[in-house]
Amino acid sequence: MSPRPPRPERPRGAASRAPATLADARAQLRDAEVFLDAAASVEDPDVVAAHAIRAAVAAADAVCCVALRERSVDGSGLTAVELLGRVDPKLSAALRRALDRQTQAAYESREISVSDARMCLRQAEILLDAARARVLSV
Amino acid sequence: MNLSAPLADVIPGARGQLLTTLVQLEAPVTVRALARHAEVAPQTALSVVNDLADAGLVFMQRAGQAQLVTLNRSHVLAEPLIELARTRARLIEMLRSELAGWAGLAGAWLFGSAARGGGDRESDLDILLVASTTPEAAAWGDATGRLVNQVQSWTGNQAQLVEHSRGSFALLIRDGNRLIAAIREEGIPLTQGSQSLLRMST
Repeated sequence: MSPRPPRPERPRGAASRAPATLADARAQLRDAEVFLDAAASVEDPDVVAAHAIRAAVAAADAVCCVALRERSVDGSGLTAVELLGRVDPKLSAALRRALDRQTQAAYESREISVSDARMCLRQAEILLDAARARVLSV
Repeated sequence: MNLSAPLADVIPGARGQLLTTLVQLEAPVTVRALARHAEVAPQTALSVVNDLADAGLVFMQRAGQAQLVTLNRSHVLAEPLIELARTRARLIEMLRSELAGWAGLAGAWLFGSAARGGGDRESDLDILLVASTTPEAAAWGDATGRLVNQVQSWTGNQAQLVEHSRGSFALLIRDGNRLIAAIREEGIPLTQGSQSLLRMST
């Protein structure tokens, strides 16, 4: 059995969320688009998934910046899942699905498969569509 | 049109600002937080929110000392308000729809204050158009003239067009022109191939 990978840690007392503005939403959307672009331009499934997950988290943050005026800042994606759940449980589930692939790969010490990477891309696209719809309106 | 707050043209003042923010927020917030996000004085916000609650447009619920508010999205007025609040997105859709029919268009972006979510009634809509060959042809001139008239008719604002051929656009990228930096930073692509054009030309 592989050793358990360390849980992402936060410095004691560090906040996991922060107030956000509409300008933050635009910046997060821009980041999400850049990461998704990067994911679409490479072939290695590990790299595709890594970029897609970063795109998904940034898009989730963009949605939360508009809908809650808050965003996650812990970098693990877990706070983003929780915050997004307050906006739309389906979007939260999409983000969790993408993050789960990353966790699964880390626990099982295996590379991410092509189908896993494609799934991460799909979830990132769902989140990016939701982010675009909100950010382009504000 | 007030490009940063189109709803304010229809419902001016604090009420419009509060309604815009209520439409955007998708979870209950305190009246104080709502006032802060809408940039309205807390007392004014409370007064407007009470009035909107009387009309059934806003749900209010107590959470300890605080009063949480949220838009009643099933109210018959909610959908028209949501549509008004997404005017900017609709304008972008209209621009995309118009430009989708253009022959010889390699790429197009909205940039400047309108792309950043800013601008007011006096602001221009800055649009970068990249022609597949040269933007000198008569049909191109007709199309750009029509676009300028349409933007004026749709918004009351002037369209400011920046036109390039693929070749001159590639030179801008090569030279690290400020326009390219602005497009990369804030540009909203208006055609399918725009982003790949930005990549391929590097």
